[in-house]
Amino acid sequence: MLRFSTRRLLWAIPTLFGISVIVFLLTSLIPEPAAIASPDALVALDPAVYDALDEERRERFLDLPVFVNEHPADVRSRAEEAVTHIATDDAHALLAAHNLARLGGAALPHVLPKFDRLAPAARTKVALALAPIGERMGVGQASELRDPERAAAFWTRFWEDRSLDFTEPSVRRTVSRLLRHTSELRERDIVEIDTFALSEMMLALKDLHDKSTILRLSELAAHATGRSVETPDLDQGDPRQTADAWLAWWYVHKSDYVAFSGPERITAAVSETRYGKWLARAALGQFGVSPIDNRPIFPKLMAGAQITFSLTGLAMLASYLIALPLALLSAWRHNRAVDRTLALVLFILYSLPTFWVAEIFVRVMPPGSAGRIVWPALALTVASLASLSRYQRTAMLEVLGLDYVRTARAKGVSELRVLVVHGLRNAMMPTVTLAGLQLPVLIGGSFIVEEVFAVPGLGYQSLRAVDGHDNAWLIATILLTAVVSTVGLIVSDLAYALLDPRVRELFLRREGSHA
Amino acid sequence: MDRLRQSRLAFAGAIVLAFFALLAVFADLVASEFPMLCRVSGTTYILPNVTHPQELANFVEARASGQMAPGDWAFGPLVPFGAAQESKGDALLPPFARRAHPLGTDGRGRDVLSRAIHGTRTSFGVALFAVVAFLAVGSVLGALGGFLGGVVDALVSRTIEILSSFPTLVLVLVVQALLPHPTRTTLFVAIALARWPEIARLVRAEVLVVVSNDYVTAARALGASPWRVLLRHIIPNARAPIVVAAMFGIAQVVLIEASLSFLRVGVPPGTASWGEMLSELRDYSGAWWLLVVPGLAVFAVVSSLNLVGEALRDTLDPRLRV
Repeated sequence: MLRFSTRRLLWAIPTLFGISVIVFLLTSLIPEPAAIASPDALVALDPAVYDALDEERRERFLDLPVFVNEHPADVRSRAEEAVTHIATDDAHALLAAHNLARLGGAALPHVLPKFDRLAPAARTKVALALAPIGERMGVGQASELRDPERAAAFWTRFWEDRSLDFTEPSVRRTVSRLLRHTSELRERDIVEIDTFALSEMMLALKDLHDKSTILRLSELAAHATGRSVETPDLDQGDPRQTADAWLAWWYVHKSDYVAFSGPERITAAVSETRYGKWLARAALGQFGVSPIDNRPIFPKLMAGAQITFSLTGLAMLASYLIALPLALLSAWRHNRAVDRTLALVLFILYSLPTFWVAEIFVRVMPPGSAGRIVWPALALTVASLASLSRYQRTAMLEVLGLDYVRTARAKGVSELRVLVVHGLRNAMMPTVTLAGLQLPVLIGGSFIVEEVFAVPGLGYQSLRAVDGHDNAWLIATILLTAVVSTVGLIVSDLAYALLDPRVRELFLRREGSHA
Repeated sequence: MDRLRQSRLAFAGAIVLAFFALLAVFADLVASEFPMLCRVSGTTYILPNVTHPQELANFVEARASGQMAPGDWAFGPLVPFGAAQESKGDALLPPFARRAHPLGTDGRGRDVLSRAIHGTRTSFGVALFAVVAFLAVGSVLGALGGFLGGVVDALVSRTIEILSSFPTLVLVLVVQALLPHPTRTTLFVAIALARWPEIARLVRAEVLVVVSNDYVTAARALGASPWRVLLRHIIPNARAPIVVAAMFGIAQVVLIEASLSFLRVGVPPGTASWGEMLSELRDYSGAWWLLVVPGLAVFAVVSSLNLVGEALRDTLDPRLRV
C-alpha cells in the first residue's frame, strides 16, 4: 500500500504542474496593454507617459518570454546595453539614457569600471547620461555634471573615491546602521548610493514592523526609483501595507537593480519568465488585491472555499447515505413496483437541472437560520443522488448475478446477508471512484446553488467577481477548484486501492495510464 | 416486458426530441412578429417572417398596436410575437391573463411562448455545435492515444487527466468572464474544450480493447498499413460508445448552457434562452410562469435525450449499462 501511495502521489505532481500551465494559459485571455509603438519617439516627447505605459506592461511581465528565458536581463546586462547605445549614439540613445538614469546607482559598478576603455567622445556621452543619477544622489554640482568638458572627469574621480561604497558588505553595513537608528546622516549615506541600496532595503522590509522605519525606507526607495508612493499617516493605516506594496513592486522590478550570480542565472532561465513569475506568486497564495473591495484575494478565497467545500462535502455525504439504502432496496425488490417507481423517480431527478431544483427549494424553504445551510446542501444532494444511485444499483445487480452469490443463496444464507455482505461491499468500490469524479460536478453545482440561496461561498463571490471584472479572483478560484479536484481524485484512488488489492497490482505493474 | 416498456419510452422520447428539433429549425416560422403572409401598400409579401424585410418594420409595429392601414392585411404565424419584441405596457402578465399571450410575458413584456420556442434554437444550436466539436477532438485524440501508444499515449492520458480536474461549469464561466467579448461561438468552443477529455477517455479505452483483439494483429501481420487498420477495423468497432456519448453529451451541454445562461454568463444578454428566462426569476420572484415554462422545456429535452441515449446504449453496447 505504501509503494502504491508513493507512486500515486508522485504521479500527481506533473498533473498539478499541467493544471498550473492551463490556468496560466487562461490568464492570457485577459486583454493585454498594447506594445508601445515607437518607444524612442515617446521618450523624447513625454518620458512620464512612456514610464506609465512601460510600467503597465511590466506589471503583467509582458517584456519577459513566456516559458523559457535564454538571456535573462539583470542590471548588468541592461547597463551594458544602455552604454553601448549611448556610446554609438544611434536611434535608441535617448531611450537608453532614460533607462540608464532609471537604473541609477545599481548600474554604476557595471558602467564606471569600464569607463576608461571608452573612446573620449563616448565617455562624455555616457557621463552626461549619468547626470540625473548624480543629481539624485546629491553628489557634485549641476554645472559639473552637465558640463561635457568636466562630466567624464567627475565620474572617474567619483569612482576612485567611492567605489568601495558600492560593494555588498558596505551596503549591508549602511542599511543595518540605518535600521538600528535613523538619522539624517545615515539617510544621506543611503541616498548617496541610490538604487544600489534597494536590494538590502527590500530585504529589510520583509520583516520590519516598526512604522517609522518602514516609512523612512519607503521614502528613500521612492526617492531613488522615482516611484510616487502615497505616504499614509503615521497614526493611521497598516505600515505592512506600504511594505507589502514595495515588496510587490520589487517582485516585478528586481532584475533592474540586481546582478544575477551564477546559480541565479541558471534558475533565472525559468524563473524570469511570465509563467515562472505567475507560478511563484500563485504557489505562495499571492493573488493580489481585489478591485471590488480592495482587500487581498487569498483570505477571501479561503473563507469562500470553506463554505463551498463544506456544502459540497455535506452533499456528497448525504447522497451516499441516501443512495446506498436506495440501491439496496432496488436490488432487493428487483423489478417489482418499488424498484420501478424508484427508477422512475431517480430518472426524473437525474434530468432535472440543478438551478431549477434550487429555485424551487428556495421558495419552499421555511425562514430560519438553520435552513440556510441545510436547503442548499439538499439541492446539491438531489443532483448527485440520482447519478450515484443509478450507478450503484447497476453495480449491485451485476454483482448479485454472479455465481458466488448464487452459491450463497443456495447454501441458505439469508437474503439480507447476501445483499449487505456481498452486494453492498462490491458495489461500494466503483462508487468510491465515482465520488472522486463527482467532485468537479458538485463544485459546479455548488456555484449555482450558492447563487440562488445567496450563500457567500466561492461560487457566489465568483459571480460577483464576474460583474466586477475581478480577473485575479477568477483565476485563483479556478486554480483552487482544479487542485482540490485532483486531490479528491487522489484520495478516491487511494481509497479504492485500499479496498481492492488488484488495483494496486495493476497500477504498480503498468506504472500508470490507468484510464 | 421490461425491454418493451423501455423501447416504448425511448420512442416517446424520440418523438419529443423530434418535435423540439423541428421547433428549433422552424422557430421563425412558428413564432415571429413578422407575419407569414401579408399585403402592404399594394405589395404582397410571402413568408416575411423568414426573410425579415426591413421595409416591413413600420407595418409590424402598426399591426402590433392594431392600427393597420385600410387595404393592408396580414396572416400571422401561430405565435405572433418575436423573441425580442418588448412591450413595456404588457410586462409580467401571468398566463391566460390576455388571450394573445397564453403563457404570459416576462419582465420586459416579451411573450414567454415565443421566447421558449426561440430558446429551443439557442439550446440546440449551442449543444449541436459543442457536441460535434468535442466529439471530433475527443475521438481523434483518444483514438490516436490508444492506437499509437507510447509517448503519444502518455501525453494524451496526461492531458485528459489534467483537463478533467477542471469543473466544466467553472471553466466555461471563467473563460467567458475573462474574454473581453464573449459570444455564442466562444461559449460552445469553451464547452467543447471542457468536455472533450471525457470522450477521449472513452474512445481511448475502447480503442485499447479493440487493438488487443487478434484480428487486428492478424491484419497488421498481413501487411495492412496502420491507416487501413485504423479506418477499417478500429473505428467501426469503437463507434458504439461515441454514439452513446454523443446523445448524453447533448443532454449535458443543454444543461450546462441553461445553467450558465441562468447565471448570466452564458449566451449574450438578450438572446432567447431557457436559462436566461429563468434568470429573470431573480429579479421578479413572483413570476411562477417564468419558473415553470422554461424549466419544463429543459426537463423535457434533457429527459428525452437521456431516454433515447439509454435505449441506444442498451442496443449498441450492453457492457456500458449503468
